[in-house]
Amino acid sequence: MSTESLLSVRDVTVDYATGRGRLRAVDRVSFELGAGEALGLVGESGCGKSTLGRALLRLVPLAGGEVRWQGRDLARLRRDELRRLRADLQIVFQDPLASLDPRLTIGQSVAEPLEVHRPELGRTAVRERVGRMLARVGLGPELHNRYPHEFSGGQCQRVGIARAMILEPKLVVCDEPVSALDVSVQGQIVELLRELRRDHGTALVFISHNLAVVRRLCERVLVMYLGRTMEFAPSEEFYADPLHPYSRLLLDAVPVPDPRVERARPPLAAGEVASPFAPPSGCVFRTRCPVAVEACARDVPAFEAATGSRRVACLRWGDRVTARR
Amino acid sequence: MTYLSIRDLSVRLRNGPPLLRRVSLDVEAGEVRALVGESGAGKSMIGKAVLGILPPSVEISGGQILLDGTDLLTLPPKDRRRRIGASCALIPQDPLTALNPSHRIGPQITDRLVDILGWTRADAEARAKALLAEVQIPDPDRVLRAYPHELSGGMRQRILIASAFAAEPKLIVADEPTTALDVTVQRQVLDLFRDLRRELGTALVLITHDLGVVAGLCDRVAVMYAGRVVERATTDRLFAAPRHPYGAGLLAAMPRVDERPDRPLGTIPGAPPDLRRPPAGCAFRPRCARAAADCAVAPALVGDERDAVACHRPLAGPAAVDGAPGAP
Repeated sequence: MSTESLLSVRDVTVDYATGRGRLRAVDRVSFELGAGEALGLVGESGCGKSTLGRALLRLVPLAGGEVRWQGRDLARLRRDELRRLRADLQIVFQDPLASLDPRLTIGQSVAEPLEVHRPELGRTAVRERVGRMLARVGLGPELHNRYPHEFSGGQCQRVGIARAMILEPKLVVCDEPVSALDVSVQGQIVELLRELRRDHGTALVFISHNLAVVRRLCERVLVMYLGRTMEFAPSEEFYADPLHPYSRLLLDAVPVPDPRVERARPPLAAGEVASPFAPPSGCVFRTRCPVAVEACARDVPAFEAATGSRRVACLRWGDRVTARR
Repeated sequence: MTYLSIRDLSVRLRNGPPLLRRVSLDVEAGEVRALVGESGAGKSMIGKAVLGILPPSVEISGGQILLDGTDLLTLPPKDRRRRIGASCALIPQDPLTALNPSHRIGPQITDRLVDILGWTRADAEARAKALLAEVQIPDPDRVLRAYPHELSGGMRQRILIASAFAAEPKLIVADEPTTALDVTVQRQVLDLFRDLRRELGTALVLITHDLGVVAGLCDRVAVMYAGRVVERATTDRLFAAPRHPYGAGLLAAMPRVDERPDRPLGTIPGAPPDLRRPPAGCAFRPRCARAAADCAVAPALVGDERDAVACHRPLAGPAAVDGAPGAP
């Protein structure tokens, strides 16, 4: 494993105790993220992508595996080290209004991380930085003394992003940050995140069910299904030629705003997600897979190196590649 | 033949600001018509007005809703309800809350057929079973006896669709029917609409903010902004050559999964207006790159049902449109 990884995730497993028994939400997930890289975590609801995002920030306990931050095991950090790390690792949530303290003005909300992590800064310095950050996300000084409820969803999300970026973190985890927004505003936020990444070199873990947005923002994509990783690939290779049948299914399902493309589409046999309480034996995707064979019910496919830096968990990806040639 | 004709419909909060301003729109028999716009544009309000389910805080302040030639707004409430119940149905947005959690699925589909349309219980049950099979629900007998919580979100939405089609209505209003669903389930629902529509010839008003959903399914589109229709077009014309700057902006702001992200997304600055404080003149003016002094006067919607725009400075017309004609 490369030593310059910002984040190294190895066999991370997360269990939830529920009324119906233990639920394995994330099952032995591994990936590397370099400084300044953006990774898209995609999959249907219940695939474990949000739980994995929280596990990266130590917001949920691990049942197994480890998360290394710049080579150091997150679980073994001392309290003061973890505190320092919190400044480098930030999160932006889906619901922009609910994630802001309603009693704080937006200026206070954005200043708060600075007051916690940079107590040496004087009031003037804090105010100046907050003003610069809010201007950067498109919110003028006349808005600093307003409260979140006075703002639209898009404006609240800008505040959420400003709050996450004010400490110049090395990594921001974004959990469905544009899903609740109107289309015209969604485009603004996606472009804003792109610019902030370019200007500050911030790494992103971008959790989303919107594959079109992920293509715009991320260099790498990790596909999850029922807690397991199906495919990990550089974006452009992934979108041009997905290796896993589940990746293909996800991509074929996305509507394209073009009548000629949409009218020519054959119907899609998408099937239903299996129960996470009784996942299928072998490959968990086999019950929906158009190319599954007997062996898929028996053997759990390894998450193995495919072409280049790509990895895929499918017994049949090689056959598929051969068949096409 | 025009089945639904909305003429100059205005709706407002009681003693408050308008929510819809002189909306006019036709839906042909068997047509799929999209109402597109962002939150607060008023698209759901149109659906609710047609089905007579506006919230009590809202009133109709003018206009006509002609259903098969009869103005619903002039009928006594009881006749209006009967008429709507016999010929129209709703597919709501949220499959998780639209079904009653304490009742089994079966009666939630069949009660309406029995109580409103006077079917026998046995006929209604046979129909429900056939429809569940049609929407590809495995083991319909078991599902009819199940409670909503025992079924996945995708199954529940398919049940709501089956339920809407059950009485073979002439018109279905689907209010953001796929917004709460995963893309895979959304695709199944879109396929299903396509099939059912072809088989049953039901007219569908599809309310959505997602132009991707519009592209494959709809014949014509009405684009709404701040309570007005700002553009009417066939689907082909809208996607090939949008004329209102708002419609053009929305299309440019849609990321495409089949396109390399080489160019930045188009963006529309600002946010949709607060309807409690609507801007004077063209409501899109504060966000519009083409706005000029005359936009302080609200433009009228000029054109016909297939091609109309409410803009003093519309983009170039549909001269270069190719592809099949979209409208019946």
